[in-house]
Amino acid sequence: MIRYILRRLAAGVVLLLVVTMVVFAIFFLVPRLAGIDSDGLAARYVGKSPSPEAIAAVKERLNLDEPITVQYGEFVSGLVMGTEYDSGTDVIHCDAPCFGYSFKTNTEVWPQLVDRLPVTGSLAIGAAVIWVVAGVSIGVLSALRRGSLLDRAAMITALAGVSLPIFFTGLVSLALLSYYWPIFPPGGSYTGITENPLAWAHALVLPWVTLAFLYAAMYARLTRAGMLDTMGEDFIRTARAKGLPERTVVTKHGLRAALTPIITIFGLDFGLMLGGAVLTESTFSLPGLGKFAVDAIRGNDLPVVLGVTMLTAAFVVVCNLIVDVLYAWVDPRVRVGA
Amino acid sequence: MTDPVVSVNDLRITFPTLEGRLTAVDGVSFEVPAGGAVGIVGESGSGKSATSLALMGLHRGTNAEVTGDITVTGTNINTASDHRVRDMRGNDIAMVFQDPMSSLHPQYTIGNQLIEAFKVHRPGSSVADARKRAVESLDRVGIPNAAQRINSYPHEFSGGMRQRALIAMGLMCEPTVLLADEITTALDVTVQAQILDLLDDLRSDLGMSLILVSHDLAVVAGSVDEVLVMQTGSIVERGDVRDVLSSPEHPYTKTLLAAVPRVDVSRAQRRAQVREERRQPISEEQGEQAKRAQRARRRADAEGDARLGGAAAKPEKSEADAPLLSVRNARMRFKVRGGLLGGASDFYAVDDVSFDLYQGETLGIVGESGSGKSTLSRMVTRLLNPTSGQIVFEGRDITRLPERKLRPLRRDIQMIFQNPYSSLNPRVTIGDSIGAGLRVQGENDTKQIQRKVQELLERVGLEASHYNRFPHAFSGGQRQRIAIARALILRPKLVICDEPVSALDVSTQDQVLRLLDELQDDFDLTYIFVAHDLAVVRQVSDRVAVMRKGEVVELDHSDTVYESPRHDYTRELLTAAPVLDPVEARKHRAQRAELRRQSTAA
Repeated sequence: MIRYILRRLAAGVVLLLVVTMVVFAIFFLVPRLAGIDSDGLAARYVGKSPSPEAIAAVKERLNLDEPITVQYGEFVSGLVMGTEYDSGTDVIHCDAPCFGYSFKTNTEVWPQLVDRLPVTGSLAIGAAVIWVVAGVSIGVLSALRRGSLLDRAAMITALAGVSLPIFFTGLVSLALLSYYWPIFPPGGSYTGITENPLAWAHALVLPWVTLAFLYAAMYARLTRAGMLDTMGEDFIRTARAKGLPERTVVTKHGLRAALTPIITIFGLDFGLMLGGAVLTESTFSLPGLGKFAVDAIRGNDLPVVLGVTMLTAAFVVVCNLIVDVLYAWVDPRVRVGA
Repeated sequence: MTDPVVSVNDLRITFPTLEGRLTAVDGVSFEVPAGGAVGIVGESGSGKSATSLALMGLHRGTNAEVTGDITVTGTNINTASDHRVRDMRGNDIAMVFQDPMSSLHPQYTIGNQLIEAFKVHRPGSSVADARKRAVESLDRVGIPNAAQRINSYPHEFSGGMRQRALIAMGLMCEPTVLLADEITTALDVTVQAQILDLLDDLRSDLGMSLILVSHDLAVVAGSVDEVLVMQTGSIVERGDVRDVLSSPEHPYTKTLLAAVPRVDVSRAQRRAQVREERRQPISEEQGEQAKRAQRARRRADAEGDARLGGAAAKPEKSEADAPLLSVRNARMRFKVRGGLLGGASDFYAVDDVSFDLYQGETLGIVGESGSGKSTLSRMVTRLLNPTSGQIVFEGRDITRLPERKLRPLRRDIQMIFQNPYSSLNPRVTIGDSIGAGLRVQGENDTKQIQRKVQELLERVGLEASHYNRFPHAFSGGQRQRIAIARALILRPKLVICDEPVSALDVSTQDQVLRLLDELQDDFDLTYIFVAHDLAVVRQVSDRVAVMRKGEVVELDHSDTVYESPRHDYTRELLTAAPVLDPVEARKHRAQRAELRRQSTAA
């Protein structure tokens, strides 16, 4: 088991390294291949009205005149060990992990990411709890009462959930439950959980439910399909033949097998969401990573975009790793096979 | 006399289908005395499984409609409450299912699944008690190191061990009746014999009643007192097993009996018998297609008789020529991962195997699962590349031939696979499946392909109009005919049959074997016939190779192998083969017990 985890960890580190290469290539190599020289590249980083001095400073700071391998080396060592920028007048330390400086605010990217993480984290965790509990239980009930009114109603709702975009459901819920009947605070209100847990939860209810609705719908359909398959398996018949009560047959024998693929998908979904639920955060004006990224893209603030991309990738890799380890625990067959 | 523990009276089970209600079981009545053993025999679709599920009340909650009376240990299963029926399942009547691969939950340990079966009926008992009981039960069914193996997962057990674990599960609460549904169908002969011996022991030791359900009369012969033969939902014959098997009355029982492959019937005898039957005039309902087939056979018969002076002489004659296929010192190595340091160790699935195969003969390869027989057949077709050794086909070394050069040869070497349910693509019509070979070999004229395929469909006993149907519309036997047509469409010289009949009922098995025999005559085919069933192999093979752990332990003319086996392992296999005569079967059982005693003493 330990060996399995170590092997998956090593694979995770390699994967992250590959991710840095791809991200680096997208931001530094591809524009160059498209014929943009180092001045042009630096100009993009400077912002709207580049002065020759600013361009030279950026070129210097990002080593844009060096060969691409050296640039990549600097980039990675900045991530791992931090780096120093010499701006001419003084030396600025950028501690690891260094994603560089935002040109908009002229502050380090990393602390800004860390600032916004709790918002996205609160949103993702709360929504995940809702969607897993709701999605799986609705899926199970639907599968057991296949063809019933409940099944049909649930599946139609699920279809609506999958097809309605968040900026629609989000805006409608805000309009109704915040402006028309002021039950929940308007968009943009966020209080840290440490400051006031009640206000924190109150402000997040609408975003949670909106986001969870989409995912719960998908998970309900997945669970339903999985349960329908599993309940037809021979081992379910064996469980019934033992004289087990139907509840045990469904939960212990049926659900356990049906959940295995859902865990895999959950790992991916959750990891991706920790990197920013772009639509939800934008709709509810929550100051999370997703909104941060969108604003950065609008302002051509490439270091920030790069930082969010890397962080998202890291989250997905880590969540996948956790899922792989969980998988070995959930499904004993994986332990020997791997 | 005490009351019977199971009594079934006028049982009727119907299922709704698109074409109205289908009657699966139609007025079945029988009784099982305390401590007695009853066998239920019939083909798939005869209603035997529906009957056994009804005994457990397992049709509840499905759309099956069950009428009639089923009384198990004094309770009427049909009218009792759900709660009462649940209490009885596993406690009064326990069922052991076929296919131990899928009947155990893959994500729980064997112990967990056994303990659960105990605790549900003994709510007051402690986990330690239940665990102790599980270890005893596993020990009872012959799982070595039961106390440790209880923590294993199903995938860590072999097929035979899983079947034992399922039986152990059935024994947890010491039920009055044990209901075993096709429990040996998926198993090797030696394991099958062990499991049947085990059931017999359990019956005498624990005084349990046994209901043994199977499609194979030979399986129930040595294990039950009374046998019921079922056909399309009704019992057509019943009686003492010795009487039914020695002097069957109903024609269906006779057909079933005749279909059972027998280890003591040689190929020559069977061929003679089949030819005799073929010469008989064709009856009306067999129709045009059979007549055409018969003409072809007559031709082949005349030819064969003239050339060989009788079928039995076949191999002697051919050996003068150069062999069609020659396998020299073939080895196949697999790396097995595992071990504490993750190092791979070598495992030879096929180890230094050599044989020659002559035009027109059939080489049977017999062995248990894991003996390397499938690996060997895959090496001959180059689906696997041998680690070392040589494969020479028609004088040409094909061992290292690149795929591009191999493709024309694929025309000459074809395979028929075991599972007719999974080896046909369900989304492709059978016409396309069969015709694909022609297409790959460069035939582009769709009309021409269709004509050839339809001809062949008729030849293998299907209809030309089946061309556009999908595999799900066919029964297991028909699918195997499709698989045969698929292999023969290119007019190969060598056909490798990998367990072609092991997934089929005995009567269907017989038909498919006959077809293979006829086709061999008509198309002058050479077969390699791989199977674990000794009797089947004997009936089709001129020569037989017995494989064990990747090696051929014995290779000779089939009569020699079966009548005077030289290797101990061959002898062991032969005593394990099920026999039809109940008296003989019990004698074999005693022999096996003796062999076991010797091996434990040694």
